[in-house]
Amino acid sequence: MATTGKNKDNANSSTGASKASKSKGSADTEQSIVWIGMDLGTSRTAIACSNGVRESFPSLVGYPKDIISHKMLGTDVLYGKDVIARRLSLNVYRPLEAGVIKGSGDDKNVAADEAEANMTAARQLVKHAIRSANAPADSLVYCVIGAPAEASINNRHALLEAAKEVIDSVIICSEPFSVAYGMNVLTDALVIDIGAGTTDLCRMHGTMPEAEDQVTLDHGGDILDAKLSELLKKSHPEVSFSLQMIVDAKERFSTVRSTSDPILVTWPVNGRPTEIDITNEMKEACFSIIPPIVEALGKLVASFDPEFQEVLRNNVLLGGGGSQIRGLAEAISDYMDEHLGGGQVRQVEEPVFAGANGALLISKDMPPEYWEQLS
Amino acid sequence: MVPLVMTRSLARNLFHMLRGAAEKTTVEGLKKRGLRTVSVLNFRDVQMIIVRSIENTLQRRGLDFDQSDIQDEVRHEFLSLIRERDVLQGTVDALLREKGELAENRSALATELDKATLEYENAQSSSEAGDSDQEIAALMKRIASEVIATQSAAGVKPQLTDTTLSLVQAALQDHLQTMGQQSENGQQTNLNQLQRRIEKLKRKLHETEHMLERARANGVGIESLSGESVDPGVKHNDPDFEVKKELLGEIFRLNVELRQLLNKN
Repeated sequence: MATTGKNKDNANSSTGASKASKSKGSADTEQSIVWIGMDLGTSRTAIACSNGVRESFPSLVGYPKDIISHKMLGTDVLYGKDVIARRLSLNVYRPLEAGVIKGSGDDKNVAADEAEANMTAARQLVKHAIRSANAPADSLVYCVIGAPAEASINNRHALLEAAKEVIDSVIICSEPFSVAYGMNVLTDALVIDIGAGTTDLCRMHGTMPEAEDQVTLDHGGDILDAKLSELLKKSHPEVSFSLQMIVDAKERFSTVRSTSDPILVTWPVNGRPTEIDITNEMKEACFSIIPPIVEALGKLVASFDPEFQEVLRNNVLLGGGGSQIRGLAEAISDYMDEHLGGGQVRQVEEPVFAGANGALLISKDMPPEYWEQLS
Repeated sequence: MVPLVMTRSLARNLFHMLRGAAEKTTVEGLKKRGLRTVSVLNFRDVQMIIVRSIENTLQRRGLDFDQSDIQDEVRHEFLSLIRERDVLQGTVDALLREKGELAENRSALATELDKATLEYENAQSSSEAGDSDQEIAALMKRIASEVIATQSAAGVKPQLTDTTLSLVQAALQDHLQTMGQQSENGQQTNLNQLQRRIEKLKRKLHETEHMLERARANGVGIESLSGESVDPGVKHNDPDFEVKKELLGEIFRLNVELRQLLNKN
């Protein structure tokens, strides 16, 4: 009943020279290949590996601010939870936004040097994820990476670039499709993947989803955090709080249930720890993501074959980190009843790993010759 | 909805069941695999997950009767399943022990059989037969000389002496033949018995192994002797084989196209 993980400094495996030294002949034996499913999320990165390793950590990369902090930290770069713990001493990068590498799209607002810095951070994030997989140094690594449904060609290129140094063969796949594949729900189903940056919806109908089968909404966990922050500033102007405190409270207490217990946090008011009731604000912020989701669901259902719309409406899968809001599946079902004439939503098992698990299944089901051709 | 409660005895049974199903390893074993940190799941969380899964399932089913009505029934059913599993595990443990004993017995009997067969074959060999013939001849000679000496001293006619000697020889041959036959029968019987016992043990061993396989297939905690391995590709017996094959092919094609586009740019 244990999951295991290890951070191993495996610098050699990240160089082209060591990749070339990996024996192609050994690729014929299954033990010399490690299959990995990776969900590179805006907020969290998750991997599921064929050797049993499963890891999830915040998608954060931190570099020491100066020589003093470098000496104190004893390293050039930190990842995940360590970044949160030491963030005051670090330049923190959250290289993914809306599920893609910042600056990798057609957005001209991101300066070239910032885009380059994010690309470097993304590369290191991927390296860190692969190191966490604990693959033997001489094994081949085959990885499926989930990308948002509407990721552009440049976005996908950036992911390939980030991965190519440490992964022998990479396949990019739609993230909500990965979730559906992992659940073995290949037809007559709608997948909702609520991430930090985006919420992806994908319609499954037995063939590869097309563009019209997939919708990406800008509403995700980050918007929820901003909404909660806004509501609290309005109702409790005297309270001091940071974004991290908001995120912590959300992860602990998020709910849309009307019958839940009061949500109480102890935050400083004029420097003094004070108990604050944030129940209403939390519920309102969490509920705010439902209407846009149901609206998008409605469009996907309405544009589907009318003979199968009823089946589709009643087979909605809810995944992603945002799906962990208590009571969300039921609340979406109720909202669908009210606005779409009915619907049934169920939460996937293991929402944090649903994308990674599905990507791993895809990687293992992919014929070996395809991997060879893409390497 | 009235929350379901995990009683002490239920939790205890569940704990033993999970422990029995878990893979056992040592800290050293983990270190050898290069693992330094381990995530641990608290048993209380496992309990909570199970209770919540039951509650959520009931909610999803939209059952509109009072949950407190079925609370006892659910608890009883759950406990029965765990008890059944405990009994099955006990049976498996006993089968494993029996299997070990049977294997040992079979090995010992096989050795005994080989030894007895060798003795039997040796007893049938001509050199031993030759030796016993010589002994019989020497005995006959001694008896003949004593009979002749006795009867000659008594003034018995030579024909009577010859007849007496013939009768003695015939009686001796008969006796020896009977003894030999009995010995051979005894050895053959012994061999037959050993073989039957071995066959019986083989059958029992086979049955025990079959029962162990069935238990393993039903998920009872028996350590797998073979390590986990990945067999890549969609399995042909997968009911969605054709759909998955097409989907995977499409994913591959899209990735090839992506690379071609990027190379052009």
